Amino acid sequence: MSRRDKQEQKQSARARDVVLRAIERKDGLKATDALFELPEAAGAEFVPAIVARARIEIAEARGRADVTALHQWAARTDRLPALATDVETAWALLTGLMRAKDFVRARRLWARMGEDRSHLSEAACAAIDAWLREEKAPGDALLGPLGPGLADVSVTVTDDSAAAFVHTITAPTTAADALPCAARAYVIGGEGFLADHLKAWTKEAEPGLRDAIDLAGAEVATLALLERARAGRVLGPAIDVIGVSARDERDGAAWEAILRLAVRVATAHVGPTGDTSDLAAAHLAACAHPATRSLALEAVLALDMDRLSPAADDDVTAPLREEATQWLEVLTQVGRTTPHPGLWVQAPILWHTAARLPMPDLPCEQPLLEAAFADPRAVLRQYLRVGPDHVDLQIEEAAMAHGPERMADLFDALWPLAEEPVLSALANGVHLLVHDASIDLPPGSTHMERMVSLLAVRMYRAGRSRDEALDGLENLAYQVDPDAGAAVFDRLMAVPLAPGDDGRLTPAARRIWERFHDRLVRFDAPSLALALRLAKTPDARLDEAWTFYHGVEGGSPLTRTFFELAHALGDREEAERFVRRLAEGSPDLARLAADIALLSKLSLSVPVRRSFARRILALESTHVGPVSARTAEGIRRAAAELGMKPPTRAIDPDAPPPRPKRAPRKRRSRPAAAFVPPLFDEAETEPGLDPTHEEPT
Amino acid sequence: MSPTEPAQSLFATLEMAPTLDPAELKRAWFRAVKLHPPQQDADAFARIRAAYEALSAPGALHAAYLAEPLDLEREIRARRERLDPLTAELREAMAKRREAALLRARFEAIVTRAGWPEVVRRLGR
Repeated sequence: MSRRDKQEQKQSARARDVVLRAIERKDGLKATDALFELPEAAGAEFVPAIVARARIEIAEARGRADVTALHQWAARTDRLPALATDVETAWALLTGLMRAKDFVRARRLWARMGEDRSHLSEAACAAIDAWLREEKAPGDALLGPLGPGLADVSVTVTDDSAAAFVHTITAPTTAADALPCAARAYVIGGEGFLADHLKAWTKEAEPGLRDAIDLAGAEVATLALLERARAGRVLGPAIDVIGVSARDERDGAAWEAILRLAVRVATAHVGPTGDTSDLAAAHLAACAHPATRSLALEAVLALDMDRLSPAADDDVTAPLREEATQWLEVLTQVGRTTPHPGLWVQAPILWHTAARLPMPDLPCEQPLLEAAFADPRAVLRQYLRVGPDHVDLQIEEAAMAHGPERMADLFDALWPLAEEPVLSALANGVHLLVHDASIDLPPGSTHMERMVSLLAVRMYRAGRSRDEALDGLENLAYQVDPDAGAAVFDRLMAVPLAPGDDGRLTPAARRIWERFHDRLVRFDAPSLALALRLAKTPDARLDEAWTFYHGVEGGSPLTRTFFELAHALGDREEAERFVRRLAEGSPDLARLAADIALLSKLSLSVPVRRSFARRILALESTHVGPVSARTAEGIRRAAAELGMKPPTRAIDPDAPPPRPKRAPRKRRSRPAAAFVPPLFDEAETEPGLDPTHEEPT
Repeated sequence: MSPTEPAQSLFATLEMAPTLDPAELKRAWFRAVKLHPPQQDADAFARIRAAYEALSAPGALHAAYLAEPLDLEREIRARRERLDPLTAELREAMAKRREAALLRARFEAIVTRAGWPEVVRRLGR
């Protein structure tokens, strides 16, 4: 035996040992590799054992989806096809090759499967052939017949429709195109896709087309919203599209229906989720339309807060508190971002409601007020919508929430734009601001103490007595701080309950008063009382009374002036002296003539009445032109008051004015008594004659 | 969020559809009173009066309207009838594409993952 033969024999023996040990250790791959080192004849005895081992290990590798192991086994079938004689083993190796994308070897193995392929349908064989040949899944025509057999196979498929069909979307060029284009965008890519396209389309579109695109987007998003609600999914993506589409002021029934439905869907959706962000987004979108703008506000108004006891946690209070808290969250979120300043009136209502809930320092009020400055007309429109009663309430609440000086700024902006009844409400509001600003609490007072003081002031202003107000104040003080109630009360006692009572205002209150003084004194009777109390000299008081008397329009100027004077001065005789001086200085014949009928009704003294009468006759003598019937009547009364003959024009209102007199001529006087009409009293006033109503001359 | 009162019963009691229009509420009230005069049906009248007063409170009409249960199916159907014809062709094409992708995925799953017996069962003759 040659040396080479000995070496080969030695290697064979070693390979034999390896095969035996590998089979013993159940390592089929190693056994197969060692088998390949043996001569074919020598290895033949191990083939059955290795094939049996391979069948087991290939099945295990398929079970654990070990593509590497399957591929390794499949590679060894090239030298030992007997490894894949069993069809199940061959198929397992084929799956490994396909997953490893070794299509060359897969095609060989598939070809070797021969007869076994006949178990499959022709369509299946053709599909597998095509796949192995083209190295990718076959076309629809080949797979179509296989559909029924695969119907219940569970797979996850990534929907690539958006990418495949995005090229089919075109921007609308006419209003009629808007809805189909928006609908296509939603069908292809959902809400986000739709929102992106709406944004791009509206950026380029003309205003008319832009509105049509926005409406179309909102309509499509409404369907998305409803479908999300039905499926119990979050509503945010759909509401966001509606909100973006409704970013500007909107009108019309279509927008109203969309926004109303969005709010309804969102309201119903809050229940199960407890999350109010979608509801807030819906209400924010609804701000775009006047008819839906106040839905959240109305919902807060509808809360029965009288049933809400801060301490209780019973079956009634707890749900109500939860509901109120939710709505306040909505209002807060809307308030932070609304572009519509008319909604600033939510702020006081929010404050008012939150004051009864454990939700201090709600942050939405200031932004709302800032928005109000941007568009005071919107605030006025809102005021007119809610009605005069609510206006007073809202001004009062707003003043409490924002501070009187800030509200005074807003009043300044509103004043030139306002007409009745808002103007009266604003005038009343100024008094509230002056009152609020006049509360000068000592340092260290809490916000709650300030509120208590304000409430006491309101009680006093509401017509209750000072003692009653103080009793209420004491009760409130103990409620604020039961332990230190007396101390709180003592501190609050130092606050004047009516500004100007002591002849002075706090600096803050005076600043507000002086800003509105000129406007108010000509307009508002209670302002005269405050102006007189603050006037330092009789002349200044006369100036105030003068301004008021001649500034006030309609109604009964003399009556209002006199009573305000008497109320403010606390002295009827002094008030009469002011009225007398007003009459003596007045240049207004018509007004004096109208007011003279009231002198007896007011039981003014004879000197006052004679002052009126003298002034009327003096004005009449220099008056040029005809006078009205009522003025003529007043002139006749004035003459009677003084026991004089009435001037010609008092007898004939159409008579021409007196000619300039020539040289005086001595003539015999006639008895005055013959021309004096009876003294006036209430019963003698002609029925239906309103002396305060002046006809146009 | 639910209103303080059972909203559905308020509108239903007045035999009216949910509305935000106070004039419509008033019309429904007069209609209901005509149907159930107090002298003939005191109980029914008391019910409709209570419902009317509850809905007339500040904000109550809005709160009741918002809380009124919504027929989602009907609303969806109404919108689908309008929008679906606009996208029928597109949806059909997309559905076909999805079906084809699904069939390919199923075929691939079977031929690369299933054992021979299952392959024969699904793709056999």
